[in-house]
Amino acid sequence: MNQHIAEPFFINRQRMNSTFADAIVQGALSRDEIEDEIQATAKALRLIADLQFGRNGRE
Amino acid sequence: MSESIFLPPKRSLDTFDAECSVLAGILISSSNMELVDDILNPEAFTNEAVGELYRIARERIRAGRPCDPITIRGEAETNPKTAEFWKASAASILTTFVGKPVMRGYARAIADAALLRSLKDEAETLILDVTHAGDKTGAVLVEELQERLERLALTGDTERQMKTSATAIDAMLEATEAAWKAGNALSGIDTGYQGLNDLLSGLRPGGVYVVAARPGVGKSSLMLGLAMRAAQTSGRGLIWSGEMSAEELMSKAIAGKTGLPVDVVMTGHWKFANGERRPVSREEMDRIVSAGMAARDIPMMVDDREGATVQQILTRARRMKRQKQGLAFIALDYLQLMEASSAVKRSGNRTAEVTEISRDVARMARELNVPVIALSQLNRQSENREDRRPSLADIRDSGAIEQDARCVMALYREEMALRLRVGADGQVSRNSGESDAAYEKRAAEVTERLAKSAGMAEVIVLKNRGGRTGIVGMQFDGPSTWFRGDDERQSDPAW
Repeated sequence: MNQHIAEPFFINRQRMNSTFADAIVQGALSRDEIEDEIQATAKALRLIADLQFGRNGRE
Repeated sequence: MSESIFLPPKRSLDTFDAECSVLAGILISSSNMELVDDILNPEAFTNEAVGELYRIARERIRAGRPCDPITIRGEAETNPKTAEFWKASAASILTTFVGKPVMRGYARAIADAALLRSLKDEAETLILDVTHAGDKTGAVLVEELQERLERLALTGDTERQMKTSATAIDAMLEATEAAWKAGNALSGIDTGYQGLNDLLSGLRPGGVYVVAARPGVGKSSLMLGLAMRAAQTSGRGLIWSGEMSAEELMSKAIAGKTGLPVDVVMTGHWKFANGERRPVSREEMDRIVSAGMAARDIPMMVDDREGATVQQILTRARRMKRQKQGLAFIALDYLQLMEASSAVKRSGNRTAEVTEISRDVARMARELNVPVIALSQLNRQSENREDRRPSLADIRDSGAIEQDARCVMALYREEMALRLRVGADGQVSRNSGESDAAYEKRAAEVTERLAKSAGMAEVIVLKNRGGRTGIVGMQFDGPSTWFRGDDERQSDPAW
């Protein structure tokens, strides 16, 4: 892991997750919307990784 | 030009961020396409590369092929519009996605910004035209601007429902059932003339109904009769009258209603052969005024500018159709007086001009989905035949009129055709080299037929797509130039 690049990512992710959690706690999103959001986030990151490394390496 | 401090801040018409978000949302999940597909066209994007990627994604999804960043990578990297952008930003684009609940709002914002940008372009063109296009009058510029704005209004109309075959059938069945319940055997709007209704089943929306006749037979009068009666039962009509002013047209309608000659209605005076003039009586004046008041309630718009183009009439008709009162039919008096586009006019070919006008009229009828009554002149050929009843081949200038029309009717008055054979002295004119006996026999025959045909007219249905052809008898009242069906009495109301 390249500490220099990775560190700001972990800090920002903490921030993002806490905003997300706030929105959930305040009832701004329905159960389905929350689920969509989690899946879309995961999918976006996975697609970026696929673009970087190719899809076949993992399957 | 400095900005006024009193204006609110400029709004941005740049929607780059929203475009990236919409694209990312679609690339992450193809099902998101249906949220935006109907609102958003690739042309609406400010960024050409993002717009092109959206187009590529949309085509794949519509074709039922998989679409995500990996599957479109090959195309994105080779397409010259997107290659550079893709290489630099593919990964960062994907992080800009937004949740489903806001995607449609983003798409709307992009489409609206695109509309605003086109509007801005139009405004700038207008300023340039106003200051620099010296050959265009203000009226021409207004007309042109209206046409262009009309087109923009259509592109902005993204929420309009498409008609599926199911909804079309529902509408058709509803109309049929309503007609069945009302005991009304018409599939189109009521012409107001029983004989014509029997043959045509009314004037159906989307069709062109041509009424052709030689000059002076009474095309305009028949059209006016149809229009006044149809407007009463079916709603607002638009008449383009290239020959007569709106006032003349209305005085004909009043003449029909009162039974007084057109000239008397227009001047308020009776005119006698010896040159004497006498004002109409109080009672006659009252009749004219009350017919005028009744005519005011008939929903009709008359456009009497000379040499209108089909496009200009279409612009007005579209506007009328959008208004609450709607548009039930259009009548054009007459096709040969309309102007073709300047490109065709430059060719100097009259047939090409009339062909274009006829095509455009047919297109207008279909677009607006209303019946169009188009009057047309007949050429002289029919006058050289023994039987002067017109045929399809007699339509002047173009065979296109015959092809484009759903129905072609020729208006014929034998009385008028026979009058051409009578000289100024009231005697039947003599053919050269005709013997006395032959002349007398023919003269007696002409005089007899003239007496028999007085006040009669025929509408000859020469072509009727999806229906019978035939002849509909009419009565024609010369002084008031009004047509009545042959089953009507003179005391029946004209409209």
